[in-house]
Amino acid sequence: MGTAGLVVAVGLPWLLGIAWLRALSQGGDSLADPGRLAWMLGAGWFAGVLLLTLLMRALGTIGARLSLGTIASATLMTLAFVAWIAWRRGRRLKLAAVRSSLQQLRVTNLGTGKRVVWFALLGWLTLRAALLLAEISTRPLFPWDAWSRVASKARVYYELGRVMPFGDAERWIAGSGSVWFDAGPHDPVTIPLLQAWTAFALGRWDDVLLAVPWWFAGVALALALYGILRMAGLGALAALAATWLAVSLPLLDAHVALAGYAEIFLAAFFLLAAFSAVQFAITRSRASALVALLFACALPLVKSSGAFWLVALIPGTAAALQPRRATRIALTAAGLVAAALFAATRTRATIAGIPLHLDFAPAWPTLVENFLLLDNWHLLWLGVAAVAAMAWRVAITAPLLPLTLLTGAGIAYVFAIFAFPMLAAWRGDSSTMNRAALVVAPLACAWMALTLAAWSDRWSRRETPIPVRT
Amino acid sequence: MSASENPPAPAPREDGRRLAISLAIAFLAVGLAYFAIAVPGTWFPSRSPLAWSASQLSLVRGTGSVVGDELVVTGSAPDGSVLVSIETDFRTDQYPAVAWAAIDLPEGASARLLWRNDVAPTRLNSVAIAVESGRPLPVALEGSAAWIGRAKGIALLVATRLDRPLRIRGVVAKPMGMVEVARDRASEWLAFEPWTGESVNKIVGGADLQDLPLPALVAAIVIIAVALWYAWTRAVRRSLRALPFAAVAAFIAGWFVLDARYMFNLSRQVADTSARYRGLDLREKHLAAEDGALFGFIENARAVLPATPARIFVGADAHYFRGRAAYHLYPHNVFYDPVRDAMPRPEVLRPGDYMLIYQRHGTQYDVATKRLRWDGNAPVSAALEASDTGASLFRIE
Repeated sequence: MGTAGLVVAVGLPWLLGIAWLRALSQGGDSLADPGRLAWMLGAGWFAGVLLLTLLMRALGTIGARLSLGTIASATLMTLAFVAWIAWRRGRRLKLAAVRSSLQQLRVTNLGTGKRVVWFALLGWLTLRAALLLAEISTRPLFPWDAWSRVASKARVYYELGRVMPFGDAERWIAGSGSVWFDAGPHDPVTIPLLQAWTAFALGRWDDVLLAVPWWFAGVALALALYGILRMAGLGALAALAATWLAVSLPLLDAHVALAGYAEIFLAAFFLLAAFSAVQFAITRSRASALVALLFACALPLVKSSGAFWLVALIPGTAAALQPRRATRIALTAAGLVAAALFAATRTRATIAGIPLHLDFAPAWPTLVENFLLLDNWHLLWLGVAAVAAMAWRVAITAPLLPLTLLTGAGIAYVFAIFAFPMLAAWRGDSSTMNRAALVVAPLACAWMALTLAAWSDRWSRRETPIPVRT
Repeated sequence: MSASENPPAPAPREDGRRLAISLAIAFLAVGLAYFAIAVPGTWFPSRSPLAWSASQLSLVRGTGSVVGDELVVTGSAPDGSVLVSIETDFRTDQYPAVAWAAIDLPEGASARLLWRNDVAPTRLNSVAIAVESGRPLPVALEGSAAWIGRAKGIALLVATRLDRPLRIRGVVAKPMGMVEVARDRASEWLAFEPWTGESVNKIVGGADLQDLPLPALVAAIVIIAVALWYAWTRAVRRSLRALPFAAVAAFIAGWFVLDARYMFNLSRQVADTSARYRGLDLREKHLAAEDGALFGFIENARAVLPATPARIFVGADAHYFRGRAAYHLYPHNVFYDPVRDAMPRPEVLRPGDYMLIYQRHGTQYDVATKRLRWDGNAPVSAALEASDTGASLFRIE
């Protein structure tokens, strides 16, 4: 059941997500459009994972026993329903469009030098993917939280066939065996359910192969990002280069290879939610609103701190929806956050036992070490700072302002975690600053690439060649 | 959110050439500036390093012997220390660094370099040695007031009790010229960084301690190269249209250097993981993992546990073992303290509950009376269901 089980574990949610995205796509969308197929494949994986785990929750709520049969049946029925909607809306998958999209991989429109770089980059990315797959398909579950907070739940769900309740120490002791306990009893169950589903599909608890969906998450993130950049108008080579920047971040690769953490899913959902929100602002259709809503709602479902990331989406989304008031929205959001943080430094009140007081205690050497000296991020934050310094005028123009605000809000949130360490108590999560930064990193790569492209375009038009005196 | 469909105008070959030269100049400038700061004496010393092999070392404190080309120290002295010395006679000003070649120093070990000089021969001087991944790092001594005259004997003191044999291959006094400094930096950047519990939070990028982190060096080169290109292009009164190209190309080149290093490390990690786990089934992989002994015991314990989930309390000194024991016991209804080494109060236990103890102090079991007690609490009736070295499973009665 090993390989076949893995195909089912990965393929079924993936198909569901693709069908769902296809059903909600716009009338004029064609898979032959640059990046559209990559977006659908990449975003489809994450949508499918979320929908599958929502179905598992629903099965758990109605008291159905979780098993490969029940989950696969529910998924197939949903898939059939969604495919029917897609068919009714005239969003069938046309093989000719898929073939045309795949042919774009040959980049025949590029010159020889750029084609060499294109294929070299593809080869480099393939080598990375192969190494990561070799690593995760060999090592048993390794990182701490993965076995103390995530797989602990998944094992119970899988072995008992039910979404058993997890509670804190007091509840466990009082529960006489009806409540389970682990290091994160209040964590959302989405990621444990994904692991439980993989175990159901495999037919056994195998904490080596349970990691494989994380490899697919890395691949899907790359596909989605490439698709987003192509759909936003970036050329094929530039989009691939920006995708390489994102997926070559050492910390992101560590979260693929050392599978079991929620951060890579959080990063993907934040990127997808940000992009879908901007798409919704452009199309104003109910279908694209549903896509944006699903990806945004996924954030708190994946990790408790996802609620804060959801809030970070608000200014950029509001600016995208109200482009004329975008500047006012940006300034108001910045002012509100600054005022809230300032007020928190002045109060001693507590709500539900959580102290509202925050101390401004930034550890600058730690920031410099983690973002610039260690190899967590290669040159990402240097690049973001350089683009912000060189191209800030372009970044705040109407087409880019929403994306700038979305990225800026994410970075501001990471900065708040760094500057106000007590914020961890609010978030219910003590993840390090680096793990928080990982959530915004793919979006920051997208912002950097799109802003640079726009700035480069403007710069080239502004700078006229200086006549050479002969 | 849209970008131009048209890529920036292709940079003329001249712009590319200027950028390549700018990168080369920036690389040289940053390198030379670093050497000016880091090389303590002459850049190209005429003297070669002085090296002493394991067979020339004397084990003053501790027990061990020379095996092959290594001095294998198997135990500490009664006071918990190890002292290895060598008689020397060299000019300290010509050799400003000393590097001990040793592996398997205990985690967080306190290590010091000791020496005497001919200026104050009765005085014993010392300096701390940083230890990383079980290896002592080279010690730079040019700033030390006691590193004067001729070194009349040097020694390695390890003040932490050994938890495994310490292997010493020798010691080298280094003249620390430019080539040696460059070699040391390169070895730091290319040092294998295996996965650790911290890898999901932090990737160092080579050795834990680095005198010059590679990302900082690359960033400096990229910034200087772009600035040079800009200044040069203005100076020769050429168009600055290719500035985006120059900035992006320099940035990508720098990123690629860092990524190539990372991929090299990843490939070594894959080989390391493969050597450990390849060809093993799931059970064998767990037995080969860091907590293999614990897994083996839990496997035995599971055999005597009921098929339906039982309430199990887990106790261990190390929170790693508490958590791992619980992980291996699920779907049983396990309880442990994830943060502190705290055991439940006896009144919380009920007949039929289980208690799994793994490498924990302060727990006693009286076989004759079948009484279990921990941390000075009142004893409870319990049956020993499974046991191994430092590990036991009890059923509360």
